[in-house]
Amino acid sequence: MTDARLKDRLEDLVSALAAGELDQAEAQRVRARLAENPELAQLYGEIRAVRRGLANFAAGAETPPADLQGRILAATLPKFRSLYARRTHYWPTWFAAAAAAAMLLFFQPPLVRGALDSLPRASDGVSSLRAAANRQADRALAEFGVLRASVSFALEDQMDQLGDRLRDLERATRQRDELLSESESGSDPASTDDPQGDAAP
Amino acid sequence: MSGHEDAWRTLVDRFRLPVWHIAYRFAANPDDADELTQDIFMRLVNVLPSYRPSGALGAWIRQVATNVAIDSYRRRRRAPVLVPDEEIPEPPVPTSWQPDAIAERREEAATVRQLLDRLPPELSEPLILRDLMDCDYPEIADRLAIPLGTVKSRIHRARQTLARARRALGRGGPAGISKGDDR
Repeated sequence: MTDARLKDRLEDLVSALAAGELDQAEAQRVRARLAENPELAQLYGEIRAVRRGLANFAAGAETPPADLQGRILAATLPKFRSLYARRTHYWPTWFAAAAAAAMLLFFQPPLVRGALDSLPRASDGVSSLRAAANRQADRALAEFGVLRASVSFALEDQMDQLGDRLRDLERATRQRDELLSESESGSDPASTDDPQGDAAP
Repeated sequence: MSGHEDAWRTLVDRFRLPVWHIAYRFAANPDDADELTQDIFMRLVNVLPSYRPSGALGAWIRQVATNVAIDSYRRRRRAPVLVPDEEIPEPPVPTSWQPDAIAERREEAATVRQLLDRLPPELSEPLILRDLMDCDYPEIADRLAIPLGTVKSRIHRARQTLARARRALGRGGPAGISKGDDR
């Protein structure tokens, strides 16, 4: 490596050291170079000062103006409206059509076929399709309501049964405790009149 | 429509400060940063449909903002206002109400900003991305479309050039940065 290239390489390492970009071993080697080369040490100090200045600049003593949001909105809203107004205007129609088709396909394929067959004959084919979709949607909602209600009833039923079983269990536990207590009191040698303690249980 | 506008207002409210800070790093002064911020949001209006919710919205906005800021910076630097070295305005003088430390930091920042504007753009752009915006080296290489090794060497060279220019300024000499600093 020529002297000039070596110098460039060392200066790059000094820059990396000042920015904390070297691993520990390499940083130690560069620091050793700095100790024996005052010119490099000076460059190191100056790069650190520059980085301090950059950090202060980045931290930004300046603050944006208070009405920045208003200015941005004033500049961008007309463009925003011109770009997205049409799209949002037509969105509900297309969404409704897609949703109706999806529901028809999902809930009643024969009805779809029927509706499609009758479409050429009907003067208001689209309306009938829409009406059919609405009916299917109503039916689906009703079915969903019934389903939800039946699930709810089934859950309540299960809860009742569980409650009954719990009460049975509590009753059985009480009876067992009573029997145990009677049995203990009956077999307690201190409470018996039999001096031998061999009374039948 | 109103829902979309409300969403846009919310987006502007939420991201105006981070976007302004990106603009501030690339602009010549705070007024330019305001204008650049408006340009960035205007670009966002145009490219909104290209956003895919798979990534974080903040990161996407930061990327768009940085790209617009770099473009603007290049335009500004292509038509530089030639100021003779001796006409470079002095850094702000500390005023009596400012604590010395704050004044000193402002002075340092102002000096570096002036010197940064005198670096060739091919050196200042990667340096701004690295030392002012904390981008990592591969990200800078990707954004500026230059090899990773070139990014590193340009950033080192930029720091060294700024350091020498700062030294010259301190000695009262010319703070100009010439192509002679390029290797």
